[in-house]
Amino acid sequence: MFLDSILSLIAVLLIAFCIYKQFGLNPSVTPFVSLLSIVSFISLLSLVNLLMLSIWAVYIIAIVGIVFVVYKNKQTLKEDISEFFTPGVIMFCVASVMMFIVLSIKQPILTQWDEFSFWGTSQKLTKYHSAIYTYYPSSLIGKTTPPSLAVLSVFFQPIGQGFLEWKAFFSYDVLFFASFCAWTASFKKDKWHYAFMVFLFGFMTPFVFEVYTKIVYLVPVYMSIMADIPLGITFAGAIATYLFACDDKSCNNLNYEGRGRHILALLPVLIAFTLMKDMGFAFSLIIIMIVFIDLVLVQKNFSFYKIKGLLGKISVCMLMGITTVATFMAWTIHMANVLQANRFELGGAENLGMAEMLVVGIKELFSPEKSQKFIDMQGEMLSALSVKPISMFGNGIRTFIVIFALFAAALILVKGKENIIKIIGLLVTNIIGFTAYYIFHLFIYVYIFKANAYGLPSYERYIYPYYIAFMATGVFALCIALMHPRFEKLSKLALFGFSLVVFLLFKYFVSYENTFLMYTDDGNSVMNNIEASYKTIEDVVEPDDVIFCFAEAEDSGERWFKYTYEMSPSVIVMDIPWFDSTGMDDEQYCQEWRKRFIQYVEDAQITHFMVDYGNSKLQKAFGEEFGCDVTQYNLNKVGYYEIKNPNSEENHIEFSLVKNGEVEG
Amino acid sequence: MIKKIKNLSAIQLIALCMAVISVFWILKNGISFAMEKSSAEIQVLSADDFELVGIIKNENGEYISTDGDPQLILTKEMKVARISIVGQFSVTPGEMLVYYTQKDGQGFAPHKRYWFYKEDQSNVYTASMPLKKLKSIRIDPTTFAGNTMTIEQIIINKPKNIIEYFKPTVRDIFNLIIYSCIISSIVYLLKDLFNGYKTKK
Repeated sequence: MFLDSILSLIAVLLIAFCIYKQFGLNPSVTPFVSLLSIVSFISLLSLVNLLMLSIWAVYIIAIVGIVFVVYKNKQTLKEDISEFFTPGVIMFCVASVMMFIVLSIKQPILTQWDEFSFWGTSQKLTKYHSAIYTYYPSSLIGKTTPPSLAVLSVFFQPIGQGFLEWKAFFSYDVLFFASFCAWTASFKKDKWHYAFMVFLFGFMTPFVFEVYTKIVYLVPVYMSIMADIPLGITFAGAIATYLFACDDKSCNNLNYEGRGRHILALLPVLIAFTLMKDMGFAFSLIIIMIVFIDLVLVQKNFSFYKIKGLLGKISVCMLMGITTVATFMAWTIHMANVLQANRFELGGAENLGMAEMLVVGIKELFSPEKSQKFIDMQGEMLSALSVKPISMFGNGIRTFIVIFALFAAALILVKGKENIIKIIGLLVTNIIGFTAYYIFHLFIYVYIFKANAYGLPSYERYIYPYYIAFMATGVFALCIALMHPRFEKLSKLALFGFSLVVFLLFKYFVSYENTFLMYTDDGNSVMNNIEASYKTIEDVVEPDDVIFCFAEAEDSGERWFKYTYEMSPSVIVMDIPWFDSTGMDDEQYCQEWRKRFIQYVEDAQITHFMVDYGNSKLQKAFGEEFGCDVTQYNLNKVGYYEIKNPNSEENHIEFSLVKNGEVEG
Repeated sequence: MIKKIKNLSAIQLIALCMAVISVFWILKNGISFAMEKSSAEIQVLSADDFELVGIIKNENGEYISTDGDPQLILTKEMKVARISIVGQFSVTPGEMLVYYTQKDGQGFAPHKRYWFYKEDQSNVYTASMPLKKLKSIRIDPTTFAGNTMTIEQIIINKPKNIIEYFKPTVRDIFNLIIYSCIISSIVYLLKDLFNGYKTKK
């Protein structure tokens, strides 16, 4: 069903309205809290294999909830609706609907390696099997990533068969817009123009941190299902929720009693966040630290239900901590039961468990004697701050200068000692959080990455999530200054000015042709070719087939991962286990490969063989069995064969042609 | 009139901006149409009029790319708004680009290029740009080696139906919304900044 995404969007809004009325939260944070409550609920139930049931339960809860809330608030309904549609909520709705229209017209496809090696394939499988990817065999090499984002993706296309990539993009974009809406929460109707400027800044942030030079090719911003941008934007949304969730007028006074219950809005956020990616757990802990320090420094007359003062603050943070850890453990237990995998084994160069890695890492960090690799990585991580660009502003140091300038401006412009302490608190806790995050990644490069750690692969997308949240928090500090201004006009100019500067940077670095706005399929030649190739044999591939995909073209890794995605739920195998071929000439190598291939077919119970790109190795090893020139298989032609009678003892195997597929030019 | 604008609600102001921007857009496209009609000369060329790099021509008059970076280069001063390739490819062409230069001695560069998009008819690929005077162009027809291309014509400034000039793209609508909201926000900001002199607070 085409509009199922819109139905899900409506469900998010209905539940947001219920949250607004029942819990008295700032309406602008409710879409974010609502969406993440839905995702947490379904994710937790997916761990006991109740994925689809929980999705229908969400729809039912939305309908029952709205009927209940409307009935209970009959008298004030008109004002409530008017209050609910703050500038932020209106922008959330408009942005989401417009994005749906654009994506449904352009229908962009997955373009990034990890979308084929994990994200896209896992989501497609989740949709196909109506269960998360830990429950059945698949081509996925790693299945230990927790399922929030897969749940988010499937929630926005629950009806019908098939998995639409553009709807997956849409689901992530709705999360982003909900977060941006929360960022605007300090501005109501009469201040809509500031809300717009904050939302505009939000809209630019994925570009700001993914584009570092004037781009000349497609950037997959707003059409991506990688986890890094969601991590950063959700982190920022969580901070905004904490800062702005309080809706009652007296909440502007920091001494508001009973503030505690509003912090519970963070619970579903933390659950969904912890289940987004392993790093989500670390971010959740940092959020709890930020909240705790802010409560201790700033909140007077605090009470969490009946628990007052410091004890109340500790209680609410402990509750958040327990929720986060329990969620982390739930996934660990699920993996142990369903996958027989130990979450704490991270694999990698030193085969360390996660806890072990932390202990060993911290010891080495403070010891005067470090291994060469540790020293090298330390040096690289430090120099990366000045060498690697991480945003449109430039390298890490320049980006930090911008962030600190935001905080400094907020400090100058704000009135009131408590507000100054609050902003300093936000700055310091985030510096501590960032440092811990950075050191944690140092450990990852030292202990998990092998020799390829040098050059810090994927550095940008591991680190920019925190930069996104840090810069957003700087903007929140400006919002706080605008709420309690010492210099009112300057505060307003500062917020406007910063947003406009970011927009101008966006116009300078990004040309529309390279964004989702002007997306066409024409630029995705390799992907289109593979998709077209697969379509020619689609009708003869069965879901239970275990397929050896021979795709030794130049970009063989990418081709293979894309096939993995296109051909799932069938399991795809790329290559036989590595063997040492030193000293072998070409003929010997092909014969050895042949022997080991037949053995592997028996071991892995491979049923079919697909030739995407034939070469001389295949010809030498199995030319006779194929009975044709396998190098005919290239960009335009694929061959799908059934494997029969593999016998490693007799070095015998048969390939029976099922279908040849030819792609039209 | 300033007073009237000051009293507009947010939605009315945004709608007003959208109307004004739309009028300018229509005018701009109308001027494009007029200018192209008067000075964009139509030229129908064949691939042989170009210098071929990484392309060989076979007995059947087909052009085959010998590597992944085939090029058709033409050095001729002309005013260009559109370049169209009428032809067919044995394999999907992949990325089709045209690079251009506007000054003598300039080289082709990544920030001076346009993409070809397939038109609704099955064998016409067109790259559009705002009318400019060009010194030379370099067409990269495909990113695949071994692509057999039947290039019937290369048309400069192929005539465009007048309605096509006024078809809004996604980018036009995006600009319309964003700029209307930015301008309206700035108007409200100015109201905020200058109201302080008159009213309370």
